[in-house]
Amino acid sequence: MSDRMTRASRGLVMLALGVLMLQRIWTGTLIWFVNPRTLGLTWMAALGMIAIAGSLLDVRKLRRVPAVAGSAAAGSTAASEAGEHDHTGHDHAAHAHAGSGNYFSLVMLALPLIMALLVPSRPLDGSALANKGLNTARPLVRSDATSLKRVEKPPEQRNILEWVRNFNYASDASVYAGETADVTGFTYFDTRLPAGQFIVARYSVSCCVADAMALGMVVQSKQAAPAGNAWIRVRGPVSLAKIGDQPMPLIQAVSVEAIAEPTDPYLYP
Amino acid sequence: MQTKTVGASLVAKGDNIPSMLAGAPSFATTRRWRLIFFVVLAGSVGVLGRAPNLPGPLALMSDRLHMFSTIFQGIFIEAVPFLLLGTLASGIVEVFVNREELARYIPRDAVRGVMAGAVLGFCFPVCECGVVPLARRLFNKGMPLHVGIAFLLAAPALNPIVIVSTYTAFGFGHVLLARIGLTVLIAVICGLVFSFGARPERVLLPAAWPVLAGGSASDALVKSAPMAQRLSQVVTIAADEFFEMGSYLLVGAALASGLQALVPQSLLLGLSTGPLLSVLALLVLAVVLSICSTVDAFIALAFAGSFTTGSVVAFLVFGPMVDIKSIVMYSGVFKRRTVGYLVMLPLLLTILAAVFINLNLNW
Repeated sequence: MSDRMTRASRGLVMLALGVLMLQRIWTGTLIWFVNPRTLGLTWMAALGMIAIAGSLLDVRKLRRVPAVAGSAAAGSTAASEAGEHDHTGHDHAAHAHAGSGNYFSLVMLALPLIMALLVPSRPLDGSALANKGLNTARPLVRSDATSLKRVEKPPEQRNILEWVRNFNYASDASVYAGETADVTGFTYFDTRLPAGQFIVARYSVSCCVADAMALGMVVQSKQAAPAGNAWIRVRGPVSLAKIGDQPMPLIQAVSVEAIAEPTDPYLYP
Repeated sequence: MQTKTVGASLVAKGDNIPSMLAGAPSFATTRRWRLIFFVVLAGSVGVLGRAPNLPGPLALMSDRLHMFSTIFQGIFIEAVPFLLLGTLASGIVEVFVNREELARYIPRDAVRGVMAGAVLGFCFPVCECGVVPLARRLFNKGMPLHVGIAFLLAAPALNPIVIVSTYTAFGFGHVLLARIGLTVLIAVICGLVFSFGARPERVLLPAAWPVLAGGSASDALVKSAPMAQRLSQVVTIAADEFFEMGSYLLVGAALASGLQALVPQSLLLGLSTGPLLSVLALLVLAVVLSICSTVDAFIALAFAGSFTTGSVVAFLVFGPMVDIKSIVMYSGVFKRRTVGYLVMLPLLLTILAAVFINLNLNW
């Protein structure tokens, strides 16, 4: 690949990556991948990539870049831009030149684009839970609980994360027994649970989906259990259950209704 | 001048060298097969990704593929701002920082040098995605090996952002102090190991070798060129490096998300109590999850209730130094054997410290 081709194709890939990120922000699908806290950073990165792409694709600068593949005298894109560029003792691997490494890095950087085209975006769902593992082992606890407080909200408004957090903070979780829960999540069948019980779960995402962790409440329902990995809304009084020797909130379901998948599928600690 | 990027060597191993030896016709054949391979791969990924109502085993593969794709893109979106910052910082250092100036600020003797390297992260608040390109550029500019290695290992954990997030998660206490102290200690020890006569040519890949005195064009540029031209060069260098380091980052992201999609982590969550086993479990998790160091404290918090304190500290100290992403990115700077040292030394030291905490300190 000639230096000019390299520069131009890199510019195009960066432009496309920037546009893909803007599109994710626009359509609200960014939160399927990262915590919304990183929105500002994503904006910055998208605009930065588009700006760099603009500089790489600048026609006046492109003209000054040699169009002949591997031309030894021509030097690097940086050199032709800087006017003079001393090559002695200066290894140019740092600013990549013509060579198969260019193809490799182009393909790798285009991979997020290719994946986005080939595999329709979808948030992490219950099918990933078997691999991710349900964190029943006292999540979100610290020994000196000062900064992450218990959530003082009416019980009907707490989400699964807040219920689990409150249960972990309470020195005696039975104070929550009898309160009414009204939560949404997806169903998950844990093999450790007896028949008639299942888990209503949500992923908690601190930064990006790579760190997603499933949290859940046990549901005891007289109705026929819904299919696995289905989104439901569960209402009913809360009592204590155990998985292993780990106390968990259990909902004595008064109603279990199927709902559409929410646009914001994760919870954020 | 025949140049070879580091990325090239990865590709070259597979196909270019044999095909060059065999001559032109087979090069064309190899290329055709490669093309066919990629088209078939993309086709099957597309079918798995998009076809509705797949039969049993294929549906399972489709679920795994979606999981892989979502996590892969998540890591990319999360890492790309930091990669961009790191490469821009590298471009700025290349164009605006003079070798002689840099040399003046670095302490002469090894111990103070590595100490300076370890706390340099306070000046460059970058996580592991940004620190690698920056460290390579500093090596180019003649930063001594031991200082650079201490910087590389310590900076992702020892910077204001990470300390604030660790404080937010754990408060002021053993965990925060142990994270800071052990990170400095391990970075300093590893730096000192490399201060005993290790020569850059034997440790670093050519791309990171220091430029010979007086040989750097950019040093001349510092004095002569107009500002617009210098900025334009910063952007060009940043873009070059974005593609090179970005390709390592994405290889790492692909490996990490592949592992997450295929290997059940639920097994690891069960190993929470043994003084050694819990440490090993969280170390494996730190490597596999490849979480950005700016938020790993919140993840560690989730384990704090059930795992031993030593293992949580190990997660917070080792994770920023070594994970799949950073191992792949290190291999763009260091020779393979050095990468091995940079993984094994912090690993053994972390295990040692964490097991000591578990057995002897009642935290």
